[in-house]
Amino acid sequence: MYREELHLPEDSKWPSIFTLLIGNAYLIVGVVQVLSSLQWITPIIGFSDLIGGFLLIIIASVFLTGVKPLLENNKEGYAFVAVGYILAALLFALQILVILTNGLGWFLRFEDWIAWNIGNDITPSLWMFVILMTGTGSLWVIGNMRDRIMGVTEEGSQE
Amino acid sequence: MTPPEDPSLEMEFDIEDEIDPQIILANERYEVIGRILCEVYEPGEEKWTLSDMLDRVLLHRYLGLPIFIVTMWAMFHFTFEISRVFMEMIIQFFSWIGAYTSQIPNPILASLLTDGILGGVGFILTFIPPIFFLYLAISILEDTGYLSRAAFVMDRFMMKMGLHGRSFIPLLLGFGCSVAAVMATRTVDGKSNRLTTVLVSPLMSCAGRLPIYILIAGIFFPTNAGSVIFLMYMLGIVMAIIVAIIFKKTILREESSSMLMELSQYQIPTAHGSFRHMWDRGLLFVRTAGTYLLAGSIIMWVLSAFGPAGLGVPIDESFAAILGRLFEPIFMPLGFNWQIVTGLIFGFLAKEAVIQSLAIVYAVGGVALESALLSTMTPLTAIAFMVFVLLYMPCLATVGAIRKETGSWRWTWFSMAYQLVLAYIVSLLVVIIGGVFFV
Repeated sequence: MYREELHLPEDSKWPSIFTLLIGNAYLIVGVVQVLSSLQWITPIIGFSDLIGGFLLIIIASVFLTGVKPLLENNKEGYAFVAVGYILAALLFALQILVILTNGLGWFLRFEDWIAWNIGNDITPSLWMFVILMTGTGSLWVIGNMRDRIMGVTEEGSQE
Repeated sequence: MTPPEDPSLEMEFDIEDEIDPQIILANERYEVIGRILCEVYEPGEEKWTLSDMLDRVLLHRYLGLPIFIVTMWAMFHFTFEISRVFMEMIIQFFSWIGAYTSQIPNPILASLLTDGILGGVGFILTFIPPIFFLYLAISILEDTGYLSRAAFVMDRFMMKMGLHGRSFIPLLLGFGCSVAAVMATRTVDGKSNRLTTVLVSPLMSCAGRLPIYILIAGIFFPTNAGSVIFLMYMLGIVMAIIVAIIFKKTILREESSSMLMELSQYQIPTAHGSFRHMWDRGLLFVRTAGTYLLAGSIIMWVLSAFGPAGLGVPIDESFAAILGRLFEPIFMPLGFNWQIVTGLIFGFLAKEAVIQSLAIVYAVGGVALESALLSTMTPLTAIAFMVFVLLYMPCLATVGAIRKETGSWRWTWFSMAYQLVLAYIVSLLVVIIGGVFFV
């Protein structure tokens, strides 16, 4: 697939702002998870995995590295955003599989799963991806609406 | 061709004689390709593909390695967490069969079937799901084209340490099987580089060690078992690099050469291809379990059920106990009891045999494996045990492969000896340092 077929937006201003926001969100949540797992702050349910916290920080750094080129309208910035999405999706998919298999164990009433609680499996990697996708979807809808309105305005002014 | 008269040219001739003709051919081919490309190719923005786009990040100077770590963690987390429920299903199945075999009127046959075969091979077969999932994950990574990129990511670090970048490919294959890793060192340029890679590839954690990590991490670190297993694999990579540096700076000095490697475009793996690879590789484990491990479990049962006084002796007076106690004093500083030592001795044949032996020894002794391990080991000893298993000789087949690839018994013995010493020292350090900080 060549660059032209990727349909990257011409103006990178809003994608760069969104990437900055999402990168910082991953960074903050990752740091909180690390601190929570080390019990340096009050332990939070779902924030117990130390390595999971570091992984969120890595995803954050991928997003944040893409901010600068995007601000300069350099299309290479989208590469960082794409890889950030892929890594976030990977951890999300993995957590979904964990919930499904744990749910299966609980359903079959296996000893190790009797006390299983889905709340413990709702980790930041899961809900952060939901937030990421919701934000992306919203940005896409807003962008489309803006293009449509701008298109109508331009057509109106031409008439 | 007439030999050159100039002595310097003669020297070059000798060096070239040692280089694989395939590499010379490949280099020549790339030179021709390069010349043609210079004449006909004009780089332009339009040629920036999705693959190039991903490579810009995945092979990034600073982000490449952290992304590789995320991928590896995801692979081991997937392997461990997803397979747990399927392992439990197999355990329940063998418990159900065991309930019938233990009722057989002949006590010797009942013990052989229940404690020996079901307790040994049956127990090992419960690890089919994680091994199949590990192979599935490796197949997906290979099929996407990311695994070859991982070698590139590591190349920069390995070159800085005086190693050959291409050495990382056999090391990555070592995640699956150490024999395959040793055989794959044929792709490494230079005698010294190749020998170094042969010697360090067994330090990469193969699939045979996975059951041990799953069992021990699951018992002692149930909430973070996936991360503990991931750290064991990372430790394998780190130890391989450290040992390689030591070898390159001492006994195997040679200049490193740059890596030339073709990177294919990224692809979406097909379900058929990935599952096929998983099945082919996983089947090998099932075959091993059905042949060598079955024979091993019968031998182990005989050693556990018989003693100098005959059949049905207490486990402490069995041949297995005598064997384990013979070497127990050496492992006393590590906190390993005779049962673990016996398991480690059988682990020389194949790493799966370590857990199999432990299961049989405890089953014949009438104790459940999990509670027995919890009562005889501390979490620190458990880590030392996993580290020892990670670093000492993977299996007899790997010894054979090293002998074949090095063509020397001297290097083969050296390989076995240094790994044993390394395993002992690092495990001891775990116990000492861990004892200072955590006890």
